[in-house]
Amino acid sequence: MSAEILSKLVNLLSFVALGLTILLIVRARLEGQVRAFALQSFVLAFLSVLIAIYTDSFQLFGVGVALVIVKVVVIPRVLNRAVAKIGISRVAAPYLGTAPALIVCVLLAIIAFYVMTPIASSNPLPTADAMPLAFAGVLIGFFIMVDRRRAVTQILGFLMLENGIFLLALLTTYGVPFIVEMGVFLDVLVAVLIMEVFVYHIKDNFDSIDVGELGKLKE
Amino acid sequence: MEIAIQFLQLAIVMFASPLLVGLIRKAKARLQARRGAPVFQPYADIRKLLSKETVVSENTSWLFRFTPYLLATTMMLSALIVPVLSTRTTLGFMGNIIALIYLFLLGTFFLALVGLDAGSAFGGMGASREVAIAALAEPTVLIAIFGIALRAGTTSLDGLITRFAAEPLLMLNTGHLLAFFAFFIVALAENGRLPVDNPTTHLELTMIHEAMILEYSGRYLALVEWAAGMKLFLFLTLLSNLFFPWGVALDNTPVALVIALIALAIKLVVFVGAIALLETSVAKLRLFRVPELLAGSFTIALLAVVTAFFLR
Repeated sequence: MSAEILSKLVNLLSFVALGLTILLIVRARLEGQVRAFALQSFVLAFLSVLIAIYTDSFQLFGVGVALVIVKVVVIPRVLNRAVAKIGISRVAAPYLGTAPALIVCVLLAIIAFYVMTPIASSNPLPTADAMPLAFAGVLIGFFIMVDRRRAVTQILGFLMLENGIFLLALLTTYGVPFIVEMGVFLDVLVAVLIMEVFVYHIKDNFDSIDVGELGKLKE
Repeated sequence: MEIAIQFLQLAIVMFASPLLVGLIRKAKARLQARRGAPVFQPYADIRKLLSKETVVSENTSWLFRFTPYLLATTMMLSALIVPVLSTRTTLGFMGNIIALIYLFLLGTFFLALVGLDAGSAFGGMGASREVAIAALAEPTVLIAIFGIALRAGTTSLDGLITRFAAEPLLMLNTGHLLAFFAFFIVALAENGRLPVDNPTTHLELTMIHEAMILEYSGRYLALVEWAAGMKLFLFLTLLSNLFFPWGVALDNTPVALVIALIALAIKLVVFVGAIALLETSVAKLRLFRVPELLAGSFTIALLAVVTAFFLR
């Protein structure tokens, strides 16, 4: 596989990952959002295996496999369980509507390009071209956490932010060592489990998973 | 020679467009487990309408009688600009892709006027919806076009196709694919296909394009429907030749032209299948959700421009 084809493929897959982040804003149903996250994690795993093959790195291959186990199988299952337990809850309107939120996403992507292109051009790796896309994923993940009111969507925003950071590391330096990546994965897994408990408590206390309710005083 | 090819292209657009419409209907019917009308049904429809009496409301102005001819003429004019088979045509210099989009919009504009002209409630409703959608779709089309024009460094259709035909790994180029998806969504909206508008609806309240032409009958209706078919044909040809420029004749040898014709037929059949599949699997969007779809398409188009600008 030549560096040029790798570079194009990495660009394409990073774009798919970014598109799936944006899909989180378009999809209204929580199941669909969880599926978008699982798909994005799968794309990232595919990408790391691709780069592992290109660089003959066994560690990176292991990271890809661990990614599939943790983020494609376990975390979506945990989240789906939470969604099923919450049931169909009243849809909380986001602070921004779909169309303005999409425009904000594009603006964030442009900012990411503006900021990261000089950094990417000083990086000699063939994967560096897609760095702005990974950074855009991080920014849009942040934006989702701020803009959406439902707790599960915010968790997904956090997870996609984490995916963006992983992708950024992968593109900049062909990934961090396996042991560090494993530590991060376990951290994320534990964070999701804790947040799941939080979601249940919010649901119990307020009969909705709208975090806007948390600001209201209640006896 | 080049003039002959030019007229061949025009003839293909004029006479193959009802077949394309028939093919889409047939494919949809088969996917929905119906037998469906024969693929040549649109020709029979047009012949029947041409021989029928034309009823014109006495409240209408000259616009009503003028618009069907304008629609057919703008579509035939567009057929002279779009490289259907070959990129080397005599009249290709007449207009670039931006002029082409505004030729299409000229027809939309007059159709909206006609919707208002007869003074019927449904016509006015259809016109207002059509204009709303056109106003949202237009920036997306232009931005998607800028996305590809920036990469190619030209807005001439011939130049764009020549440039993309020479590019290796075209299908791995993200900017290209993004522009394609943005353009495809807008093409569906502009041609009144699902999920924006249902072309087979009989319920006036949900109509958009059909509501504007409710007043037409006889040969005027035949012209309007034929023009709509040509518009669809031109949009799909543009999509297939611009974004998948395989097989388009880059010089006017007979062999190249035959290959171009076969390649075009294959690409159009693939598009027909895709549209039939899409229209069978999705429902019409509520009118107030159409802006969300078009905002999504706008986002994709804008990302295409950004990548064309930053990622070479």
